[in-house]
Amino acid sequence: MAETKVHELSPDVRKTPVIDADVHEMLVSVRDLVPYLAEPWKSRVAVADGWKNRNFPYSYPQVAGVAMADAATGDGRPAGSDLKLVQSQLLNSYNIEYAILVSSFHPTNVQVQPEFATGLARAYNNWLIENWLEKDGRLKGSITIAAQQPEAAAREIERVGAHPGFVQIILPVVPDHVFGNPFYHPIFEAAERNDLAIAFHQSNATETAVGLPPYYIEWHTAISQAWQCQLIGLIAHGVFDKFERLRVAMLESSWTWVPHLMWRFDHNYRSLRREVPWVKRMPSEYIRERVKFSTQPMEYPEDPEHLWRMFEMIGSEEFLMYSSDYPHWDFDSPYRALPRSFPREIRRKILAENARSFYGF
Amino acid sequence: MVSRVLRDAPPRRYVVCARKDLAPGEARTFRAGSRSLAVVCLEEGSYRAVTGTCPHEAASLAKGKVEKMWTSETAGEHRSSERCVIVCPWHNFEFDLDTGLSPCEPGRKDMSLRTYRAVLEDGEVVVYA
Ligand code: FES
Repeated sequence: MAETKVHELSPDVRKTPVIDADVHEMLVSVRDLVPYLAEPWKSRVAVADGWKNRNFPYSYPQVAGVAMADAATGDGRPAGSDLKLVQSQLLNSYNIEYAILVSSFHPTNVQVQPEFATGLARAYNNWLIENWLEKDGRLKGSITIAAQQPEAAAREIERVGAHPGFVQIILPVVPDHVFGNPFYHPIFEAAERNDLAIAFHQSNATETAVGLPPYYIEWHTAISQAWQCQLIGLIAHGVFDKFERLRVAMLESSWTWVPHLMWRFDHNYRSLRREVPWVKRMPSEYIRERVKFSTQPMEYPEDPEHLWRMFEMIGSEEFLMYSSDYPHWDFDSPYRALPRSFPREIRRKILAENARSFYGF
Repeated sequence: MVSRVLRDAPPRRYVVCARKDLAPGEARTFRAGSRSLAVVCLEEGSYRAVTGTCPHEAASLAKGKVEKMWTSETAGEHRSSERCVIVCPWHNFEFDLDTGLSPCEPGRKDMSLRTYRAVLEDGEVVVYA
């Protein structure tokens, strides 16, 4: 497939500045990490029949797999692995001031050999700095960690946290436990100490409430449950009470479930506060004040007015940040995703200002 | 004007029961004119009186539980505090027996109880309402 020209991808280039909260840089293969790995981990990845990352369990029914068809590199490398293409298709086409890179490589999902997972995380961060963050100042990054070793993860956050390219720590929404558990608190402590946000995103290991249903469409429709469990866990375990400056971003979770969750959780808190007396405020207050959500995948109701009403129900004009999910198939255009039922001033906040204040740009 | 006169009228004295009929930790419903009150004897022996029906769905609060409010400063820890609450028998909402306020939503007027003075006088539990 030929390289896509800017005008083909984006005929509606406009001047409104945009901060894109969810862009995926890709390794061509895990062997890209070999120069950044220390022994004994290096040779375990370098050998021809060495370690391979966990695959996504579904075959993609989309025309170009997980990628948007026009973001494909054309030479077999995955979409999102070519900086020049990211620059031309996304950064230059849409007047992107900053794009937050959110890794799809999650050593947290490596469920064995925890020190190896930690070694992978360190290598990935070094690879990211050298090949992306230091190549274009518009790119900001997420620190990759192996959360199963929280103390080592905290050390990794300390090691790279001062790099001006990093704005947050990325955690996958895992299916079998909540990160609110005190076992993981060293990670939040390090995030707060380094003034970095914590972000949650889906990964190859994300499951729905019924695990992995047979079809991709079932999985893709239901996975917001995974973010919901993590968000509930953070609040119920008192993470926001213990870490009073901690900021959290829920990326690609969709957001129209938030009013329901706030009402349900608040109502349960009125009834069940006695079980978790360390939680000091109504759950919805933590969500409004400390948690941001990204726009993509935007819902697309027949009546756009309904979407605006969902937004209003959340009770904060600051909670939502635009995200494209470039280079994936469900990419949302910054100039088309937000319906006109959203007032212009709100659209401006969503496109850039909410992320600017959240990340401190 | 009538309602204003009523509001400003000094509270009337009602005898609820004999001391022995309301043991520490217990609550009972009592009618004071047209109002239904929950009258409570705390564990240490003092008395409280609050609106008797829950502002949520009108359960009778005296059928709930009187307890020292659970509090904590650290995840996993439960401490029994000095604050006393009545816990609704239906959905378990809590109300502070000193202020009538919900510990969860103290700023919400529609989620609070009115409080009344309740004392022991000559061996009888008395409410001024
Ligand atoms: S009726 Fe009292 S909590 Fe619902």
